[in-house]
Amino acid sequence: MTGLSATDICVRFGAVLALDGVSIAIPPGGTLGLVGESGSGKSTLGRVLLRLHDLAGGRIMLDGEDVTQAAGVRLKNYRRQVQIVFQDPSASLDPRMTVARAIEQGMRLRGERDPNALGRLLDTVGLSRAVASRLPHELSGGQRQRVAIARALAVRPSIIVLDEVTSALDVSVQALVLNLLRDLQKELRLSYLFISHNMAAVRAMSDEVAVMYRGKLVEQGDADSFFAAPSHPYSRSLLEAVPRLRHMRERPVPFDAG
Amino acid sequence: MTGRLNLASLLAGIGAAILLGIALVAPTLFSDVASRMDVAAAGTGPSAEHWFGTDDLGRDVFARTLAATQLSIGLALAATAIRVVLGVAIGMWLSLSGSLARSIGTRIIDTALSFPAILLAIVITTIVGPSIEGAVLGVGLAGVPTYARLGYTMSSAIVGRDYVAAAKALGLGRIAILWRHVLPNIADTLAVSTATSLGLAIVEIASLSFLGLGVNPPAFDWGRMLIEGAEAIYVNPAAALGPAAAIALSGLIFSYLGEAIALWIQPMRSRSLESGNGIDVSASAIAPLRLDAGEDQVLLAENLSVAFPAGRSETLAAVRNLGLTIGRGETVGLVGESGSGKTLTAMALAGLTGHPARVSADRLLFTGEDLMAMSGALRDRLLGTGLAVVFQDPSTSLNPALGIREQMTEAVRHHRGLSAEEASALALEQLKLVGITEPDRRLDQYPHEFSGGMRQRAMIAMGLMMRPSLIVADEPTTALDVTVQAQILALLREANRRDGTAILMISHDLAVISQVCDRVLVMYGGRIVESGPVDQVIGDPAHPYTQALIGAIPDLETPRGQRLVEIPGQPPTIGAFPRGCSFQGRCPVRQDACAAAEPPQTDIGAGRVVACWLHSLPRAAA
Repeated sequence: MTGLSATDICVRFGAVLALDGVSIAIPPGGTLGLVGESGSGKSTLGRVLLRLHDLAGGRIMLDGEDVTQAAGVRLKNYRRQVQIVFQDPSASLDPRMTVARAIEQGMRLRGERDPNALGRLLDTVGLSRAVASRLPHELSGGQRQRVAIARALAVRPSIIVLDEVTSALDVSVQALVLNLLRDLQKELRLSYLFISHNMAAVRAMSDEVAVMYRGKLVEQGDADSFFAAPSHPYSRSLLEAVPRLRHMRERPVPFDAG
Repeated sequence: MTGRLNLASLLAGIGAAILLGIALVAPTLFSDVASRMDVAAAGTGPSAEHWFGTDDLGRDVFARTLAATQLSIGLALAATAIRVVLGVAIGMWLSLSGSLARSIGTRIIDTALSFPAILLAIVITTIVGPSIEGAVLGVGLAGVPTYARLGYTMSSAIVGRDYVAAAKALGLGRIAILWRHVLPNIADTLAVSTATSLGLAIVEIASLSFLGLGVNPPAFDWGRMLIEGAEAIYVNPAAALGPAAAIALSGLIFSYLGEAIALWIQPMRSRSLESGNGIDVSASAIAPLRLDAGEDQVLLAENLSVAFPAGRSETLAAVRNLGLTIGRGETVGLVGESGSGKTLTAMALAGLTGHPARVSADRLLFTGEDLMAMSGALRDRLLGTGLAVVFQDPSTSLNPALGIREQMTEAVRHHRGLSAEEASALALEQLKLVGITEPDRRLDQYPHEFSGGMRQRAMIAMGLMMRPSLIVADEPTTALDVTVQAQILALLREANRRDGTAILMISHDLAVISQVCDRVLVMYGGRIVESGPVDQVIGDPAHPYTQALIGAIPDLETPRGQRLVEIPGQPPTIGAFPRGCSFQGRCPVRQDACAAAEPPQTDIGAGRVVACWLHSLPRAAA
């Protein structure tokens, strides 16, 4: 089986089971949208795929290879395939590293020697080549997020975990980043795990959708049918709670989660 | 930088430079004088020839004190280098280790820290053998646990950051992460603590020498001189006081140097936050819309501006010439992106802008009374009873140390003179109204026992205690989950319907505003660019910014794969607002007039007003 899949993933934080038997598969060249509220475990699942958390159980497979216990060179090779972009680019970029250094780190690991590679990558994410010498605080939020995307792309991954990538951005900048991510996906045949609490952004990005609630996956399926008719009651309440911009007279009935 | 360094820092800098200068040149200049024995003049007091007198072998104490600077400071530097390099390396390494290694390592460090450092130094030096090397090793190693702890704590904070997670994901090794990402980010704090530690090391090395465990004759440092001087303290006190003063003075100088470095670093860190090289046209060339005051208004603000001082006489306007009215029982939304000035506007209306913001307005009426003409105390009382504020993050706007009961009843008891029982009964009723179950039990709890959604409910209940005429809600649901958000929005609508409380809701999310408000004001670059009934503004936006904003927001009806409208460029920031229209740099229908002057607020009918030359120019031509 090609692509990245995780089966029966369990993660424990002390006595708490943060992830309880979660299984997902990212469609190759497509996007799996992962939705859920704070504390549902969706970001933990994203980090698990990067092997940034210890597992209490479960299996991670990439292109038919079991990478759950991969270490050393195998882990490094795996991590070049799978990258992550975080929510807050001002936290995910080293404040003392210029844009060029942040991106070149990954390029060097890949053995890239072409001096024009950095410029091309900046072009790819729609940044002016002049930003290469800047520090993160000299950039706007949208530019910073592009740098974080370029840094992930520098190792030529096939899969990117996008963890709330537009949540810290202004709405007028969010559209630019979402459009860019979709263009890159087409161009580079990337697969995404798009983690977000923003239903509309998930709708705009995803081929498939998975819903998490208190560490468990409650629903998973094709995006169109999910948004047309969610089957789990929690998914329904989640969708109904979303304020509608263009249908505001249908004000939602509040759902009491208890 | 001038003005940031205080006198102590300046003196410390000069002192450190002089000390290091003496350390470098004194041995060559004074070694002859310092070792020249003159038995005839042995043990004499201070004189013009010998400032600090002479020791028991007739050597000049002043020259010896200067000559000893090099050894004293050199040894302290060596000891400091040992403790900083070794300690920080251990601490940083631990911070990236597995959980078992971490917990064992930190236990060992904490145990070592429980012994006084000087005691450890004495033990180590005694084991190694009393000598220069022994003293350096002893003082150095005794300080390692402190630095291991410091290094571990600082490094752990950095290791938890997303950029370190990203570096791990890239496949960078442990040493590369520590060297490239962690060390540069803790270096400034380390520099401060190293300078301070140097001062301590001077004292500690001298102490060891004084105990006979460090420098031994014929070599001499300040500590060694102190023993020799102390033996003859009744004959010539200066022989002991000279080196003692040198120890104290250099210890002080390096401690202050540490503080000076800290002061110097801080402005470097915050410099990025100070913008202010942009042009700013705070005075509007256009007469603002004259607003009609009426009985049915809760709030009227005319020509409201909020500015920040920048430099000696300049100010940067963040909110510019804004006009706004809110009717009794009306629900008004203020939408804008970060830096648009929406929160500052709300805070200015609520009288909550802190120093150094400066609020000005031609008229500012609250329930018909002129806030500008009132004394501060009167204004606080009027706003305190008539206006409630709900903030974005209820976990920071509730006092964690006070119970819910105290926080809810404080204002009514103070402003309305209710007794404790009456106030409690009212609080109970309000908690019930905002849907908090078991209100009598909840009333005796503390904020941390509430969930985020419950805290926001409690904030609203607290605001409603005074039966305010206006609730200002600043991003009240941004920190909440979507299902909880729906509950809070419903609650605000309910308060409006039940009590006729007017609402001013601030949000970056037009969809959220549309759930509560009837009228919306769109802010951009410190100004209101469009206002009108919310369904008309969303359904048929008139300003190019509003149009782009609505096209840029995906909603559940946006088909997958449909390109979102992109607004090129960035919103203007305070201090860099352009002359004319704030949106001109990103506007698809920009014309020459836009850069020339600020577009006037133009009434386009049906209660709608827009500030765009597109809508006012044809009119002007006609």
